[in-house]
Amino acid sequence: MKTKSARFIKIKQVPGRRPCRSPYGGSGAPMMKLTQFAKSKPALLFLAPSLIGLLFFYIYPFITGLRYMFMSSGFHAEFLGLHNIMSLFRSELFQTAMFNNAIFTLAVVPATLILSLVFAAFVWESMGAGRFFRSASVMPYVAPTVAVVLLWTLFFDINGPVNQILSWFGAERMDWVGTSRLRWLVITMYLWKNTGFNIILILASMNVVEKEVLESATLEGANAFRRMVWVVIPQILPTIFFVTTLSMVNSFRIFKEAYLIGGMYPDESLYTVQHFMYNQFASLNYNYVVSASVIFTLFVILLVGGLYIVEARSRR
Amino acid sequence: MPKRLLLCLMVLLLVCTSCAGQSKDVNIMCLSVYEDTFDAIHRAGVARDDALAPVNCLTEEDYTDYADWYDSMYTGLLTRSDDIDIYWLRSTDEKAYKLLKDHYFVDLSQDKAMMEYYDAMYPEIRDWCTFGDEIFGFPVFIHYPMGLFINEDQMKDVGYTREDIRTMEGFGDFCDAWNASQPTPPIEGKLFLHNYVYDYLLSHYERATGELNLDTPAFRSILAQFGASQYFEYMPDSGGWYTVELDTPIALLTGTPMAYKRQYIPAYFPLLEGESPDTKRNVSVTWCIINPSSRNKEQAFAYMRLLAEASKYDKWTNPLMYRDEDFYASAFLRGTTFNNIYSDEQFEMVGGYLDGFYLKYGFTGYGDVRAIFDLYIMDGNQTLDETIAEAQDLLDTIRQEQYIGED
Repeated sequence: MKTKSARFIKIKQVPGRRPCRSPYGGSGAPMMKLTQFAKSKPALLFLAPSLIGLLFFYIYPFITGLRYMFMSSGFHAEFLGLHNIMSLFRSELFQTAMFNNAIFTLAVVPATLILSLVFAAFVWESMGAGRFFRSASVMPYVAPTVAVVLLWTLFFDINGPVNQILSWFGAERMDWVGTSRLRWLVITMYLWKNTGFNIILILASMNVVEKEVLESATLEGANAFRRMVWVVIPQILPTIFFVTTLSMVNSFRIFKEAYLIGGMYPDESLYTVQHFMYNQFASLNYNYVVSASVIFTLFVILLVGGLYIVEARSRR
Repeated sequence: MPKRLLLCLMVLLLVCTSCAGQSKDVNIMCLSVYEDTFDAIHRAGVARDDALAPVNCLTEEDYTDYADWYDSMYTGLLTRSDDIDIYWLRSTDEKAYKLLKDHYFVDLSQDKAMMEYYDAMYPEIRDWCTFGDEIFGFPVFIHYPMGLFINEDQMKDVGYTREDIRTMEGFGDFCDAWNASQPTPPIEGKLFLHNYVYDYLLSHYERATGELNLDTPAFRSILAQFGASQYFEYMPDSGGWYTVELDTPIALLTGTPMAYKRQYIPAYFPLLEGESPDTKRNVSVTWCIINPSSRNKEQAFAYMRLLAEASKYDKWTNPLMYRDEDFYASAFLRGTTFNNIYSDEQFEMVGGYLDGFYLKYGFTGYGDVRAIFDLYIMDGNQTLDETIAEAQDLLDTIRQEQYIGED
């Protein structure tokens, strides 16, 4: 007679699948067929709270709201077809918002990845100081965003310490918040705050790299850089993909920082799709809110989907 | 078993939904400060006609939550919630025009009894309740933010007339003369200088295109006059609100319609340098509007008729709305402090006064732009050019946001 625990074991050991290498699941997790998944009642039970929340608070409102995309606003709403979508594509402001989001993602994702890898490698190689750096790197991540933003705006205020230091070197005081410099300020702040978490993820995966291979590479005369590039990175690729995906998704959630610094109407360089949607919502233009969110969701799905395809091909 | 449970739940849901439609209560969303007034009117109405629906005033107690409270109300309207039967709408609210344009109201002209009240109204006030060809709401409060009410006798005591304070310079001279001879301030409340800025914003906003050009000589002139703070001396201390008694010499009152019955006559804020004598001023109206999604429309109409009837009552905070003496005489809520103000002369004067006002709705960004200029007037940390550029930039962004698909 099969026990529940036996069924669990069977699910984890799907024949023909590689065992999970990453402690975080991610791409290395065994892929189960949907039917097997459905048969797994305990799994469904554990997932139920999350799935129900997702269904009722995200998927259901999203689907029921879709009709607004094709309607005019108003009590006697009329069917407009694709007018709302086309209007959005023609809107210069919406284009600017999409462009800003894309710029932000393009700047943040590679930078986070490179910084995380470099710092993780440094910490990994110097295990003595590693514990301190590991703790220090995660501190900005756990700090509340509001506090971080307040601190940064104080630092970069027109009369703040940064401008003070610049003035010592004869440079003029700069307005960091009210101009297009704000974009780079927010990007830097974002990197400072979020890189630590990625370092921890990458470090954890580095710790399960096979020691024998590393020792053999060392015996063959490979230095630290070569060991990292040719031995460690290939082994932690699934985690790197996972970190990339996570960074990409998180990069679309920059609104919190941008709002806290610049309010609902920040400098144009920081005006994102989320600003657009929020302002349309506040102005009761639900048709544009839904249209913008659908376009934005498709954009995110395309990007993340593309990344998964790249990952799948690289695994093959 | 789960199927039976699901079935029971569905039946329960259906029963609850059908019961919800049978409510006879009228839910009104209004500000708490007016709850007592509404309550008094309603009790008087029920005493006359006990068939009137019970009324629940869903009020906001805390003014700091006022914006959020209004937002939740709007969301309810747009999602066609029937929780509210009658809601309040203020003309200066940023979303007022949008709600009317999108037809979130019930046309009151379909009710013959209501039309009797509108027919007796001053045409200006009736126009302020009209959107297109439909009458969308009943005006519960009409506020004249740039209206003054003056006591001519008291002004004469210090050697000034109504015409003398038509300009800001004359107004200043009068204040000086008054302060030299009287122990009380010349004006109850404040002469809110910001109102000149708000007035410009509302009167120059192009609804069709969303454009508002702030970089004009006229607007610069207004700001320059306040930037120099030359008129601040005319503003009494902010704590200087006085209760007007007949034996208290205070010559001017701001925006106080009740003043009609105390021998005060209406006038306008002084003209600024460069303003034409024909300049009209903004009026702010708060209406009661029936939610088109309401399931209690019949009761809501009954309540609106009660409001209209109560507006004849002199305790009501509106100035004269109807220009027919007989119409007032029929008021069942007639108070005890009538001062025989319903004369032809009084009706004529109010008619002329209303001609000096216009109604404009708020627009998206109105509050934010106001805040920029408030800061300029009060703090003066920014230059005039910087302030105008900041406000113009904001308005241009908002225009691009709000007028997509209409270029």
